[in-house]
Amino acid sequence: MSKPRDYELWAERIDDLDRTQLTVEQTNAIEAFDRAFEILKKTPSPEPSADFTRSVMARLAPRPQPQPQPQPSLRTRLLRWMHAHPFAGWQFGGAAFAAMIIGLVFVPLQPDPIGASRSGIGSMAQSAPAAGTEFVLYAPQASEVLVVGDFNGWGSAGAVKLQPAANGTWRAQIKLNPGQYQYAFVVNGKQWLADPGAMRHVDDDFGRKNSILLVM
Amino acid sequence: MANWSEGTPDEELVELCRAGHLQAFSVLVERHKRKVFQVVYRVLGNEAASDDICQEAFITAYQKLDLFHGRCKFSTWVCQIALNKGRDALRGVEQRTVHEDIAEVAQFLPASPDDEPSRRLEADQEARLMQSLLDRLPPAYREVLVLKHIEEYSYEEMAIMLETSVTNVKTRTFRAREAFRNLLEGCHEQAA
Repeated sequence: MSKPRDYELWAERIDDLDRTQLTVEQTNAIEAFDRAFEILKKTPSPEPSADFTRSVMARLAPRPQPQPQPQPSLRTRLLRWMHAHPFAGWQFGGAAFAAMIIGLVFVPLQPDPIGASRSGIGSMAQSAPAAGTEFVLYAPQASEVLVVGDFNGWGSAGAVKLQPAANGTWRAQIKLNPGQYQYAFVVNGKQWLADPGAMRHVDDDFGRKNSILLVM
Repeated sequence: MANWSEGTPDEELVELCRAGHLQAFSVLVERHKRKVFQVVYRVLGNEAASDDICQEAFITAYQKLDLFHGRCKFSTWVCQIALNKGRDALRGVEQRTVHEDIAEVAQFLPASPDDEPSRRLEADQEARLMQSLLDRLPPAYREVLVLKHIEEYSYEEMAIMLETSVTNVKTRTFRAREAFRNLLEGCHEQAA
């Protein structure tokens, strides 16, 4: 086996060289190098200042938490869309007419309370205008559940807190006028969650899903 | 109510911080401040400046916590931030030439290993000599030698801290070793 050249000596292979193959000069150089760093390693470095952690913590501001974004009402968004598409009014008119027909056909469809997911987090908003609409979420691990939607300005007019009920469910009743609403749950103040028991969902403008509620 | 203790893993503490539990960050600071400080101090060689830079690094880490994706250890990430800040601090500071004042420090070296009086050489003097040799290297070389040969990080961890490739780190380490070896030999020649 040939002796390593100086280049190899100081390259990566310094870590696992067979030192029996080195020349005396190379051995001396390596040993001097190793000794230098043994000394440096053993040299105690000073400690961070005594009030290091306190100083850092005193200069930290609480991190801003993501807030549910107030979403413009359906009417506002519709007007914006029409403003951005001035020549599409007639198309919209046709679409609105078609939606009305579809609505007439499908309005009798109601969410099936039994169909709500009961594994993990699941929920159901049940439409019952006389007593209010009941929002139910199955979230046994949650410490707080809010419902936000266009009926309460997406929380800006006061998010409604669901109350813990039996079997890991959370419930709240809200009186709503007949109409179609978008809503979502906010779990533990940070997790935006579409209602898994809702019949329909739509994409919001922020990459999340909202649930659709129809109150008659 | 979220709970944590001194034994809570870094990843959980980071998540708690992200969720707004400010005080969880104090556990992270307490846990890693010494390691981060040591790395920065070895590179900068100035206690007060290292302390300031490390505090700034932890504050930046907290503010940029959303950018920490757990692809490396939390301490490695804070070291990366601290080394960046250390580099900024060194920028503009006049770098001393490699061999200047070498004779001054060489007086601390023993004339030969068997020279009995030299045995009395204080360990701290020897350490100071080695540190002064290290201080004479360009910061880029000093960084890799500190990380590799004193703090014993892997090349992969060093690549993360120095924000470069493993190949670049190896090349830079090789050159730094050569530079340090030259200093060391020059020092011994002066002492002979």
